[in-house]
Amino acid sequence: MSIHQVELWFFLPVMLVLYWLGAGRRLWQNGVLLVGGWLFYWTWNPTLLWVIVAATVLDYAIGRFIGTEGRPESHRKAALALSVIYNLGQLCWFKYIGWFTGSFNDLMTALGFEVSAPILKIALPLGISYFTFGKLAYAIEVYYRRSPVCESLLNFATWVAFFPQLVAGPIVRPRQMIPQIEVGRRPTAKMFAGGAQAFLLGFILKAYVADWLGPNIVDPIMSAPTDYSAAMHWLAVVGYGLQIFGDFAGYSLMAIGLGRLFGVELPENFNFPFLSKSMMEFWRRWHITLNTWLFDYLYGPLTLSRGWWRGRLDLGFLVVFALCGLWHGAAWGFMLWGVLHGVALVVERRWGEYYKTLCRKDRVWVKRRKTRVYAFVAWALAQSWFIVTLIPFRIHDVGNIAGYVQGMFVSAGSAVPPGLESLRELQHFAVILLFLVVYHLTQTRLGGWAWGRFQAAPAPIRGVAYGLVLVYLFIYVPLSAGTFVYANF
Amino acid sequence: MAQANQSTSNWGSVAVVAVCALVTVVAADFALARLSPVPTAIMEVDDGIRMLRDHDPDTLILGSSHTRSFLPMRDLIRERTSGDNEVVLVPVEWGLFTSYKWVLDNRVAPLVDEVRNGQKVRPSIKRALIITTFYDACDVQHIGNVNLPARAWEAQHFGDDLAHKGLTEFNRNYLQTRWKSAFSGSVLIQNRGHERVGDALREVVRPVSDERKAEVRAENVKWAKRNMEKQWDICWHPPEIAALEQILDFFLTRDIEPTIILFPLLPDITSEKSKATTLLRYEKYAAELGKRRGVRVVDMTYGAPLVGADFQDDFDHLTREANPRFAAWALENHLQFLLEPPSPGGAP
Repeated sequence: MSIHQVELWFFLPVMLVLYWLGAGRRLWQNGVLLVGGWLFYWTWNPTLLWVIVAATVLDYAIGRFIGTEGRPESHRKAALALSVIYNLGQLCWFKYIGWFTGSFNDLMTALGFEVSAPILKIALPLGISYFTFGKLAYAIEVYYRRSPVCESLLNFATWVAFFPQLVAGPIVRPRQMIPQIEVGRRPTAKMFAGGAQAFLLGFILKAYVADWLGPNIVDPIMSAPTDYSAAMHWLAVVGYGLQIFGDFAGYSLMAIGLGRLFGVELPENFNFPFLSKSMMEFWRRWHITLNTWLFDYLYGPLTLSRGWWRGRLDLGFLVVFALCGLWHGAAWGFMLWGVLHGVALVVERRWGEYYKTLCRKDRVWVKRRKTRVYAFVAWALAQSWFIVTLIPFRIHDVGNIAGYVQGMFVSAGSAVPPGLESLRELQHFAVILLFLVVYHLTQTRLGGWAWGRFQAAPAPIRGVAYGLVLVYLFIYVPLSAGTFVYANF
Repeated sequence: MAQANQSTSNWGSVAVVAVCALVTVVAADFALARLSPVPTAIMEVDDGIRMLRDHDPDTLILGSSHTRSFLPMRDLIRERTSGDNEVVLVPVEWGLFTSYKWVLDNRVAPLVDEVRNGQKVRPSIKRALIITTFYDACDVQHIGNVNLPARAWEAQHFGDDLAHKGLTEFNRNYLQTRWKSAFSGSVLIQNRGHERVGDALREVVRPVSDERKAEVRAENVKWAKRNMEKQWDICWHPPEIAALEQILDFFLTRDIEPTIILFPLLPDITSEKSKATTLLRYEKYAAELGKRRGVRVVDMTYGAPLVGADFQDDFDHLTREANPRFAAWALENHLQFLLEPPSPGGAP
């Protein structure tokens, strides 16, 4: 099941009615959410329901074990290790085993050995990267006594299987959700209105922006780049940046919206990343829940540890982002993408330190940093880096990556992608770009004021406006939409 | 941005916003339906099965979407035989032989073989027409248009598939069809994303000239011609050919006399090349099959008195006006036997 496809309109009304029939009754509401979540999971792949059930029961038991007062430290540590090994082991088995064996075979062949380990093709359980990281956070937090133990298996299982975030996050920490579901929930107008609004916005980003850009601009060019000119190569990469933003930010907003319809507030996952003026800022705005997870549970403990790693901030960036790349998928292209982002953060950190020395020498550098020119150059560099690094993210084969980069400067192709072929498609492209610009302008003072005015407008005016948006979507967005790019990670 | 303003969020205002949005959508739906009417419902497998459930016909017509053209023929046969001969038709939209076989096994067979109190409920079926074009032998991997969940599945088929494979792009079509059928009067739901409404709006703002329309039609004819020539490579798929043989087995083992009918094609889209390749191969195969299995084959590919205007814009199906003319012509020529009582023994 997917939250942007037609099945949601069969599933959601039933869920909402059942759920709110028991308003304020925790057991009933969590029971409905759990059964609904498992049903949602089951419809993805009936044979893999056990993955989420087994992982839930194990981590619940481990949490109880670790959290029990008076338990010897060595036992607690062993239990934490068991959780980490099980969760990461499960993730590696399902997600990376084929890649590991394939890479091993390639390495052996390169070294002159005739080894051919069988490459297993295993179905990837839905959202495994997301719920695994959530559960790991739980075990770690309980171990360090930062979060209380979840005493109720029902509450714990409801958190893990909360269906809006099952496909592609956000990665929800235990303390972000469990306290909300430990009590009965009552509907509020604010949650419903905010939920519907977030869902609609997310749907536009996913079903209109991302699903148009993919087949009409990005996919045709990326699949046969030599047919297209250098300018089209650039267009496809920029288009891909917008596509995955629409896809993933759209999904996150839809998940947040659905969460609110059930009275549950999920964490923000995107915060206008295209406004970032540095890569550090970018990573505070893009896939926020993954990056805070990596910094809280990997980068922080690594660089603040007492051992060799202590203070090795640059190496920490490289390792964490290489793993971030690997989290996205089992391919060298993802790894390269991660390392490139790690390099950017290292360069930025070094530049920041160097700039501080300049400022200490001469205060004019402080003023320069506050100029619009500096801000624009910083923005252009950060965004360009993000866009260019998407090439290995999208094209995993190293040879093809090199070919694509070359094509960005020299290409004899002259084909035109479907999105630029006719006036009708050009109109869509223009509307999409306009929508994205307006969406980001809401973050400016004027845009924020205008959005505030709309929010404060009489209800009938807002209703008609939303109705017209829906009519537009009905006319131009097909009933069957594409899958989420980030559901594959 | 996604967080609603607190001051404007009380149940009253939420309800007003929701109602106004709904009214806007419904009003737009009505207005747009004038520009771009809701597509006329076409006869589907379910309609055919309902017809079969309610009757004990002597002739069953099964096959491609062209089967729908036989609906006026059904009325003519009734009229000319004073109701003695009863015909039921089961058209499968966007199907191939494997699709017709699936419909035969899963939807038609339970009714054909239905027994009540030791007696067959429908003992009269003695004739079957299989309506086909060369397209029915295409490789599904290359055409990707077969959509049984939308066209022929019942809830139990969806449930079985869901339990085995989960929700897939394929079985999701069943849900989409159910969703659309729940809003059969809404042009926004029926035409969602197809751009028909968008095109109709554009036509109001900037009408397309007749010259341009003629140009577009000429381009499409050219494309269709080329496509038919290319289908030489993909429209000879062994599993589809095998399915046709199995369909014949189904009827012959039940003493039902099958007739294979090659439906007329729009003359404009057949080229000398396709006539000598794609189409010829299929005609020869049908003739050979008829001889080998002792089955009547009626080849109407070229002979029917139909012109370009008798075909719809898809260059494939006959218009509503052309169907009765085609029916009358066919009953006076190749299909005269449908006016006679079926032979008691069924298959020769």
